[in-house]
Amino acid sequence: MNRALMLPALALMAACAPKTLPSSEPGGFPAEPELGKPSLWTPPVPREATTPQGVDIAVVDKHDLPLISLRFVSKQGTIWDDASEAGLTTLGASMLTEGAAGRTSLEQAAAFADLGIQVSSWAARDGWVYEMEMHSDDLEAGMALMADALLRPNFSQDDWNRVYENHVIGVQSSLDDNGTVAANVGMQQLYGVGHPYGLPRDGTLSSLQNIDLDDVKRWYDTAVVDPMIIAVGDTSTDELATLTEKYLGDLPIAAVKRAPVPAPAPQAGLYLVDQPGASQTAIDIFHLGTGVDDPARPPLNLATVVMGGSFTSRLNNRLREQLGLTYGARMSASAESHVPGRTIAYAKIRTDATGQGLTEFHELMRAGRDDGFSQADLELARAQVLARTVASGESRSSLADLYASLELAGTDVDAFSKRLKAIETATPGDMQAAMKAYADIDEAVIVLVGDLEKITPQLSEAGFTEWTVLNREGSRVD
Amino acid sequence: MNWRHSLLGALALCGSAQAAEIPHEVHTLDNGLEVVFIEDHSLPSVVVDIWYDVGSYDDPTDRSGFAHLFEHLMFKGTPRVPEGQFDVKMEQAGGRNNATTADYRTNYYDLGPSNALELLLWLEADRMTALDITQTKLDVEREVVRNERRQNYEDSPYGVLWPELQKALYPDANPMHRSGIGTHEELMAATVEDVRSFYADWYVPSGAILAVAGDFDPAATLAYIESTFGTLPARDIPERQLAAFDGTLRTERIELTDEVTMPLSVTAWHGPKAYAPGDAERDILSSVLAGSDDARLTRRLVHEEGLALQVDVGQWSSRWDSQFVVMVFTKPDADLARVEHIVAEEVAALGGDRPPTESEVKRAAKELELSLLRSAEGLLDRADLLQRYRMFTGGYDFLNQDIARYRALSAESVRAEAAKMAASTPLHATVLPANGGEE
Repeated sequence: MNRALMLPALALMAACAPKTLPSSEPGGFPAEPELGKPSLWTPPVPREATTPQGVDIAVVDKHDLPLISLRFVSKQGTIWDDASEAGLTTLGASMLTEGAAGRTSLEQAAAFADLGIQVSSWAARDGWVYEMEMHSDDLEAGMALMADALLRPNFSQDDWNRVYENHVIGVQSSLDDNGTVAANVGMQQLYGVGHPYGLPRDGTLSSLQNIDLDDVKRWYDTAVVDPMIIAVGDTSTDELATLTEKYLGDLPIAAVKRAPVPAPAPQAGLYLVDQPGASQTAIDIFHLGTGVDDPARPPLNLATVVMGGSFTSRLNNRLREQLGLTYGARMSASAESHVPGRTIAYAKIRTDATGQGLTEFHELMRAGRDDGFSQADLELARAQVLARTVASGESRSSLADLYASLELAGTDVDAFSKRLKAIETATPGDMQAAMKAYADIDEAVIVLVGDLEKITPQLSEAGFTEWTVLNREGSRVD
Repeated sequence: MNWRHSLLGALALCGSAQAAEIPHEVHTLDNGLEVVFIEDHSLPSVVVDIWYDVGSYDDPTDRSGFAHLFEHLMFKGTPRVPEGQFDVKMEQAGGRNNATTADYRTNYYDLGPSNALELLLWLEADRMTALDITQTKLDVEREVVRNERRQNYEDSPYGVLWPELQKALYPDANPMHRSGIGTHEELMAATVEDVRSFYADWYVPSGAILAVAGDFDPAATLAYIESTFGTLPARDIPERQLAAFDGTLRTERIELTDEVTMPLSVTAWHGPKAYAPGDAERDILSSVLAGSDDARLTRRLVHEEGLALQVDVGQWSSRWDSQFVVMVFTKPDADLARVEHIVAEEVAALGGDRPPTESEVKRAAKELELSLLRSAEGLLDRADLLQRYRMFTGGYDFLNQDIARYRALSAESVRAEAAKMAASTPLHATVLPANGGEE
């Protein structure tokens, strides 16, 4: 007999019982359990020190495994690249994993690989990060190699030729993905053409043509700004400070004067990019968000969880579960330190249902703005935000990444913990106010990347009559 | 019947020459459900991770993608927890979940605060008890899966490769010939009766292993599991008829096109199943070929000959066999025949006149060991690692052996495995720009 057909009768009998009654069903299966009180977890506060040469050290010691995650953070990010040289900081950071101290790039790679150290160097908008994952026995050897990379890079023409060519092909390849294209175009229209936050961190095909090895050397002269070394794992502040003094004592720290970042100039509207043959349309909806420590940030985070930050969120439930238009719909908010951050709602919608999908986005986001949120919405979102934060404490690398992101954003663990506490006091009214101010779809930048021949008739039929057609790099197509 | 497994104390993975194990205890309920506990109170969180002994290998005839479609349907409600409420209840408690389908298993995992553990277990036990499947639910979820196919295989750069690789590697009659995502046609053919039958056959206590990891009380949790999962009747899963397979390729060469800029050259060999003799050697070989910038294949293709941007090599070992896959993302104007020749030449050299050195093998073993240690950090990673050991080796105490099998390898045994590969015929696949690279 098929048990799936046999058991529902028993189960239905129990489904009528009050769900908090801690008794069993007639079949022996217990009633839904009551929840105890959750614990509020906040990240451990790192032990900090500053070396005589001015490098800040932050360490969280964890000795259960002989592993260390280390991050060298410099606050010289891609936003300080000139628009005509967008991509320079990313290329500069890449060159720091090439040859150094007279060793060729292959010899440098071999030195790390012999120790089993995973090394990478990458650029964010607010800074660049040199990171290592290593066995704690190899901390000193790893620091010595990192010092060679940071203090004595070869910057050889051969390395540059290879890194540059591969980077350009990588940027070209990224335009093959309609999600990446939608994100790049959306950022450009949200912050303004040429704005530091609107430019792709990897640069554009045209900006990369303006960069050569001399530019990277010039970048390097002021590449280390307000540095911090973060380590999580089997080490101590004293050990890391001693090694930093020993190996990075000559670190050239730049004192830079910076002009304020210009205010964003969002160009609200509907933008279309053609991708003939696409079976799905990438839809990205952008709106300016909050600053890092803005009091509106916690309620905005809560609102985005309800709208698109969990499986049961309104966007995902409607577009995926009820209508089957997409594999998933999401919404999230991120903050920036120098300008407002952004709220993004996005999904890849079936090409033949693009008009319907965009209409649904409008209706759901307007409902969030106009009708607000319930107490149950708030409680679900609050539980989600607090529980997910705990996950960042699970591994050395996730904790190190958390501290690095806080450092880059110009904030710290105390402020982070205060934001978590603010999550506990936010109200549904706060969430609705945040939705109105930071996620109003009627003032948003909306980007669709898909098969225009198939989707434009649907858009017209759905009542969207004005749009601008752009190419994959965001330039207007006449 | 319960039995407690030996514990080796706190997670003690200290030093490259010392013992390593993940502390755990194992219980088996009377109905055959095996339970493994991994206790860790360092954070106030828990993971529930169930592996069912069924995967896309078990897709019914003419129903490619069915095990994966079924995985989606497991979230569509029961008589006790109506549609949508599984996720609502879990998310209200701070939990989140997902599921994945492989050829050899389907896993369902839940993560949440430790106060939500009983709820997570209750929800999992409930959907092992009964599913409420209707035609409407099947129709909607089928569209979700077809959208997943569109997003991850049809519109994703190089996504076209994966189903075709499976087809070419295995003969038509082998279940591995079918891709786990399935075809639109066969997904459309699935019926509610197929769903009910599959559920009744495979989703039973003796076909599952339940792992609980994190901040919990083992005694109280075991009692709760007995009161929920323990109410299910015992029944065996079907006896699986494994397809005979001698490693012969169905096709030796496939040429595909996609909306990509960089051509991709793939060379793939069949190999031993996970943890079988030769599997560790191939892990080492993958590192010797492409584990770092100065590894042999990366050095030659990227640095010396300038033909490629990136080289990825992996020994993808599974329950039934493995695939050793070399993927070379080349420059747009690269000579792909030359790339293919170099791959063959470097593998042959490892088995012949330029065998792996002791230092290359030692370096690769260290890299693999550190990777294993990192995978023992997160709760879900730990639970998955133990589940994998249990399914593939029959026991949970395998981390020491896993590390030891790499440490014990000699350069000669790695050379011999490379020679074996060089003497066999690999599959060659290419993915070329659909429009010849023109914008």
